Amino acid sequence: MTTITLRPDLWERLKQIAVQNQSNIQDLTDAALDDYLERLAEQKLATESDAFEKMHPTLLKEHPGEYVAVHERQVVDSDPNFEAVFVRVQSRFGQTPVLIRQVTESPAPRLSVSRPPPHSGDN
Amino acid sequence: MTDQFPYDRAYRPPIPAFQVSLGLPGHEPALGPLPAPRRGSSTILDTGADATLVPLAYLKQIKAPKVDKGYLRSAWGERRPVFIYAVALQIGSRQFSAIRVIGDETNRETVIGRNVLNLLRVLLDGPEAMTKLLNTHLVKD
Repeated sequence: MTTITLRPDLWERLKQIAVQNQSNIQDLTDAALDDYLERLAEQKLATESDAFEKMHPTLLKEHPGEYVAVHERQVVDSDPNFEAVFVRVQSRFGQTPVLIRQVTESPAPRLSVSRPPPHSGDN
Repeated sequence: MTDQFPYDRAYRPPIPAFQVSLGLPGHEPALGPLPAPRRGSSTILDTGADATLVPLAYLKQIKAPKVDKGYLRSAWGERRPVFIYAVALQIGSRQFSAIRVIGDETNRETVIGRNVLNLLRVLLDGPEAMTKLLNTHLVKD
């Protein structure tokens, strides 16, 4: 557990919301930070995805079929095996979001499913 | 060794299903086996699915890391942006330490697609309504 200091106005707003939601300030703060960090991760992946798409013609020549890891708009690792790249990237960058994408003809993954909806009737 | 899983009879006709557990990549599964036996929340096999889909709630629960983003298109033509996560996946006695799965915000089912099915030997025993995972020790990742 680490102690941090909140701005008084944030503290007041959190107190009000905690009362309204019958929650507590700790849970609200944790949830807000989780959401914020998720958004940051998504923004970073979007940036790396743009970089991947720009590099795609070169990647297709140099790493066809491989998984490449893109961090700060640079290729930092590649391997035919996803797990191998993931393990090395995690060891090197910890929890920092790093894009890991297979180099195929399509610059961005376009996936399809044929799932049937679950049966909803009783007859 | 053969793991066996009954078909999900919430579907008519019944649909081949698995029981799976999820975890962080490289770790023992922390969540599962899934699903709770609830209608519409099965883990089903879909040879028409390019990828494996996992309800987002499960991925958030284990704090699975996002590794990619892309687009998902259904057989009905709907297309939407999705994030791709890395998870450890266990099906019966078969374990994969890092698999890419799509986070599904809209459904309660887990869908095992070809990125996983193509690593397995599976027998769909229709008359017995049983999915059988065959000779798991012989299959290479």
